[in-house]
Amino acid sequence: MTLKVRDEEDVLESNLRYHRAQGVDFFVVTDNGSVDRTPDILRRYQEAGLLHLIEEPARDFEHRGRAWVTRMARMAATEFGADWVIHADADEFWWPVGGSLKEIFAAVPDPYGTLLAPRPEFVGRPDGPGSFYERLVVREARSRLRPKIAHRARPDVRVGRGAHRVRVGANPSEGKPQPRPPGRAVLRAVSGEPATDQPALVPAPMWPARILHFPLRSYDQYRKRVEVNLFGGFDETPRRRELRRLYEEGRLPELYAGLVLDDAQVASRLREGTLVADHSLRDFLADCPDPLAGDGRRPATPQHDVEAELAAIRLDAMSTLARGEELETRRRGKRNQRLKRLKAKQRELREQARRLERERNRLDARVAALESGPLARARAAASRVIRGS
Amino acid sequence: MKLVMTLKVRDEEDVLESNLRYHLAQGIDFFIVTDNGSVDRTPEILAAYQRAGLMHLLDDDSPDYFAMHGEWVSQMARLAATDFGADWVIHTDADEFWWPVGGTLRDVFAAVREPYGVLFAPRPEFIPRPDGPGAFHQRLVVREARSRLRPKMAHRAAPDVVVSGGGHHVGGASDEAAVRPPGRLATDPYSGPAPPLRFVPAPWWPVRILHFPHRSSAHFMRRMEQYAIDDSFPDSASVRELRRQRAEGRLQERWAQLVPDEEEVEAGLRDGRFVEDHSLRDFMSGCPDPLADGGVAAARRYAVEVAAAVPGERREGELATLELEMMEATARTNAARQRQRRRNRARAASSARRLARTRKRLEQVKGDNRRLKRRTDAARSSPWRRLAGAVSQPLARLRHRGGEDG
Repeated sequence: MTLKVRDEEDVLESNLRYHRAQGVDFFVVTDNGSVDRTPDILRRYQEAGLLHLIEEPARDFEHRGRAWVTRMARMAATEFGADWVIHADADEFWWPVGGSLKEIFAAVPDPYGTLLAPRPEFVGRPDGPGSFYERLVVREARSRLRPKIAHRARPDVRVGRGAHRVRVGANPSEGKPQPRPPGRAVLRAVSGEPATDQPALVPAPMWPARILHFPLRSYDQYRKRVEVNLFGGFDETPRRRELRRLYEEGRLPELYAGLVLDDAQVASRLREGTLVADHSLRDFLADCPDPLAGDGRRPATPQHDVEAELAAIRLDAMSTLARGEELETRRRGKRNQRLKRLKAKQRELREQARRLERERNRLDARVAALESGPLARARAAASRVIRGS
Repeated sequence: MKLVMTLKVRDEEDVLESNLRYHLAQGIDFFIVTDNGSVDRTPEILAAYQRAGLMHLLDDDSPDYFAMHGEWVSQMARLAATDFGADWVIHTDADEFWWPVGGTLRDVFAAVREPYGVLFAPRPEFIPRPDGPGAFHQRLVVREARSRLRPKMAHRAAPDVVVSGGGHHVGGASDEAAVRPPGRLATDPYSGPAPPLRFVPAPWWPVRILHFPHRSSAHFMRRMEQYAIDDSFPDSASVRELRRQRAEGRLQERWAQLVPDEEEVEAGLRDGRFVEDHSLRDFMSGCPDPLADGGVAAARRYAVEVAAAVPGERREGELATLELEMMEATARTNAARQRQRRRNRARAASSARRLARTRKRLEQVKGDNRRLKRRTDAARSSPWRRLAGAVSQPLARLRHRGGEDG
């Protein structure tokens, strides 16, 4: 499993403990300059030989995040003998249905190379005693964020910053044949070329896991997250400017209160069915020993309602895929329009430039005529004489 | 449940009758067809189905096939919902046959559970063979083992759908809120649950589209002519190549290159690139004409018998292959899309750079012009010039007058 972390002390230990118990053999972690207890937690796992740590303290995740994730994914293949590489953030817990995480990955048939998992969010609740997983037990029924992926380990993968996408050797400079639709049959020169362009890392038509996602855990954590967001070297955007203004006006607590749902809101949304109660992580962690200290015992993943759960995740996955597809189609439309606008503007400006150039030629000729006529020559001669005297 | 199939056709006499007969037998209730100016027997075939009350025909002989086809397909899809009570709308071409696995086409669509609303189907191509006697489905019985083209889809009927020209994608006009992704929680307030999407693809793929793009040299040549003269096609390298070959009279040669010889077919079958597929041939050999008396019922009964005769284990194997085909197509589409996105981004960037260069050039010329203007004005307003003007004007007048006198 690969993780990119920054100041994750309130979730990180649970995350490593949980995934270790689910069968993750090894962690590759990039620490992006944590200043809280995060390094201590990582060191313990490192000393136990369960974790490889890469330190990237520079504040440039926004631009180098993709390279970091890709490096971790490749390392997993080349140095740590991975079969599957699972990408997560510290607040994301891959929850398998119908077996442990290890079992569900082992069950993916051979030709398939990526597993996609929807990522519903647990809603923020008012601060209180207990760890985040004890307090946060209500999540979205259907996820809205983009799903994340796990993939078979390969030394030539490229993973997007958010680990939503993975590809293999898709860089034209690497000169590999690219899988592409062959185009209209009638226009094709030769049919039935050998299947050298079989796509690699084919997505599996099964969705046996969901990612339990805990982005809002306490006011303290929220404030830190906002500070990272504002001062962590990210590009300035209108939203970020607005957030910065609110932050500077000291209105963060107010903002947080707006994000957190109270009991009545939770109850009504549970009734509507837009939220569901989900105690799975709480129950699992309550019974999960520290893998570095315990007896190696692992709690069993609960096996009830497997079919219904799988059906729910499947629908969630298909919905997020459809949403992505629709979004992509619209964006493509917008991009094409923008390109058209740019081209039209270019034509217009070039036309204008031509007109002005013609004007320049005319002026040029006129100046030359004015400056080289007999009068101008006489004037020039006179001024030479005057200057000479 | 009502299944409506949409087709856009142009000179399809060699496949069209088989297509309509086949799909009617499989349980399609009604066809909506756009005829884009056919000049062969196509209109006759359509007229027979129209007379039987099985078809709504739209004529559009506009020459802009490529520019228009998205519009046509969307229009037909909407009509299916508003005027013909469709539950499902299936988009296809005349050379595409929706082959169901596990029942008839009707059974397959009836089995799609809510809230799923889109059914995708991979679309392997049959390999072109030398001309010979018999219908295309009798001669063409070897196809790609796994499809490489983009899958096509059928969707539940809705009066406001937007369908892409190839029938590869469906969207609804009113889904803006459902598709917009939420922001990150640290920067954006929780916006509540997303409204459900209307067109969620079903996670199973019980249909393969048997696709016969190359049927005979005559058909191929005709199609090539259409492509070569149709200006609405994007001016791609392959279209340019086609036009060049046409100008050089080398289209026949192109067809010859396209058709693999026996040896190549054997090799493809051995190494698993190709598979034999007689399903359409066998089906068509016994399929009653639905336009004969009691024909529709007889044809439907026939399709049910054919479906029931497929052994269970073969069905399972087929479904597993279809699943893999579909997933590969997804991977291929994703890769192509990423490439396209990169290319578009590069194009936009170079476009912007060009624009900036032009702007600079513009500024430069404007500056030049301002300078030249100043020089002109200076030259004009110099004392010498004023003197010259004072002298030259009366002189010119004199000269002018002299000219009149002469």
